[in-house]
Amino acid sequence: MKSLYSKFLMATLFIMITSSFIGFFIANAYYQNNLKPENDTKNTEIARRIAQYAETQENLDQYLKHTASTGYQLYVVDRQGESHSFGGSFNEKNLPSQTVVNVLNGNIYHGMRDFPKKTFVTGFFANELRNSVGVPFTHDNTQYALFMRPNIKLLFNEIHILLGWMGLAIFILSLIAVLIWAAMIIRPVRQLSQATNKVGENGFDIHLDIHRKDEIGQLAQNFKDMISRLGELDKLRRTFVSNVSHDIQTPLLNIQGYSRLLESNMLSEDDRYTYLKVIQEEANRMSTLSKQLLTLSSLEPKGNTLRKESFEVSRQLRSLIHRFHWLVNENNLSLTYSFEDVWVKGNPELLNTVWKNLLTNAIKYNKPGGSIDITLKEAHDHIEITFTDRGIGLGTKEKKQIFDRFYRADLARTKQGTGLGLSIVKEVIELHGGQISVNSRLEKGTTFKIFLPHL
Amino acid sequence: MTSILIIDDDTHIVNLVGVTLRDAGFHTYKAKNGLDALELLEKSTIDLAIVDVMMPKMDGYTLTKKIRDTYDIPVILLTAKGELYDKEQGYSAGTDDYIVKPFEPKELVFRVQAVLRRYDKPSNHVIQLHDVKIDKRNYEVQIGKQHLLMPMKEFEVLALLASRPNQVFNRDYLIENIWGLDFEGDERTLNVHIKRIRERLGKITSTIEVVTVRGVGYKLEVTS
Repeated sequence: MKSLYSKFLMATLFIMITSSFIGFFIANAYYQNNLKPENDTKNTEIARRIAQYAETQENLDQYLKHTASTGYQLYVVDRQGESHSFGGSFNEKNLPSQTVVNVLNGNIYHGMRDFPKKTFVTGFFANELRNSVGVPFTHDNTQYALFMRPNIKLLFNEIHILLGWMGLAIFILSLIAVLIWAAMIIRPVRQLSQATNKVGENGFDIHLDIHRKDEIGQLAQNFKDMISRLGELDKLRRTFVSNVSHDIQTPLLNIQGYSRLLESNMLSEDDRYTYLKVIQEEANRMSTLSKQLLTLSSLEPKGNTLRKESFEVSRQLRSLIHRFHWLVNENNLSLTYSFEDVWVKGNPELLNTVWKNLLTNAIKYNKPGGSIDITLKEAHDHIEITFTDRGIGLGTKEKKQIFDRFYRADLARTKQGTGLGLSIVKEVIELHGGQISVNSRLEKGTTFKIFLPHL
Repeated sequence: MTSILIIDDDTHIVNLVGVTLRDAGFHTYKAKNGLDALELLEKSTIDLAIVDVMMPKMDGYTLTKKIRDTYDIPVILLTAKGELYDKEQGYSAGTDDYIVKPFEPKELVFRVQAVLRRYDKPSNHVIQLHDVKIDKRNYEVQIGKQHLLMPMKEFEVLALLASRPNQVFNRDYLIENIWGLDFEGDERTLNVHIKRIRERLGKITSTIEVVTVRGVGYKLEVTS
């Protein structure tokens, strides 16, 4: 595996070299097009002044030597071709003779301006005679040509060294800084990577010591959140599985046990009847449980898979109520309802399960001679359905948990139930984009209120 | 004795329904398919038919239609599927009610009795007392938009009292008519029923009221 360190290092080197290259290219282009003519004009002006002054001087050699020592390279030539250099000689004396003649005839030579353009050579430092300016002057009735350029070596030597050291320092310091900076990024990434490995091995109790406010900090925070959500899901799954197996085991044990009791011939009629009742009830419970688990699993892939259609929910409720009239009768209850004719878009079978669960709950947890009231109202953007019973009611603590899977307020389990009914109700309602709330008082009764978006 | 014909190709279901109905005091006939059923209907006097939807040779809807075309008896459909379109098809074939398998024996008996009662007194299904409507076909009391379902016996007591408003019914007459001659319950049963009817009606209407006539019985008063 290529480490991020080496990648950072390579990238930095690449960036530095490329940017120096491009930077030089741009600077050179600017020098060639703008600075070079300017430099030429400036030096021509200086050369002209030197020449002007030279004409008035007694001792030409002395003067030129003196001038050169202030930072110029001078080259003087007369018609006879006699030449003198001051302030260090030129590396290359590659001046065409025609140029010298031209200058002696009174023309000015712009060698700096006309120095050939090259992409990666500025020409600024080229110590060539060609790279100079030339002016004519007369001394003691002799015509001379004066070629001049600044003595770069003398003037800029220290700056060269200074700049060189600065460049080197920038280069080295940048590399070190990049490595430190890379370490700061790589360390939390490594920590995250180790943490992900641990999630597989050690469960979901992960401690991450990353406190940053940038993207990596955010990633770490998201990771922590994700882990804790996964942990909760895992816990839910575990309890779910253990609950299911418990809820399947218990009725099976009861059925086994009581059917074995029935084998005996010594039973009284009453006992036989009681045992049979237990077996029937337990079989019922398992049947309900398996149906409800099926409903729950059909709810799992939330979203798109829900088949929806428009139907008259008031009619569905009315039909359901008449379907359960026998149970209302059986429990000596009365049931009142008032419905507006309301259409809703949803899954008719799932919503029917919702009404059925709420109605059977209202019947089951009622009191003898009690009553149930069901209303269906339409508001401008939603419908409101309430199921009210005057039954045993719920305590404050129970109210919070009734929608949890397998939670049963009736701990003694005197009533038939799986603890899944209301969790199905809640999931179906939420799947339809609705809400359910419960209002209940012990011994007074319970009201479930459902809001469903309209269409 | 009321005779009921049970038609299903599944013997277990036929037996289960048969036993349940016999325990409830009905006489039962059994048929395995539609053709046998039609034959039996020709030979015997039958008051109600329970028909399974899924049957070979002739399905439940066709059989229901044939029964309804020839005989004036109610039909209850037995169906394994609870889907809506099944119900529509059943009702359009002329069924009076349907029961979804698996069913509770008590539910079966309740439905059979309800359907039979509906056929018993074909006249004055609905009693209208001002804004109170007592519908004997579906055992509902309706006041405005409010509907009230109550236990069967309570409904019957109320419907009987409402059949002749303001007339006093004596206790024995009420008990005999609702519970039958062989009623073995104690005197208090009627009191409890009357008390509950009052409670239930009192919550939603003041138009009708069950009034005690000391030493005689009860009457239904209509106040406007």
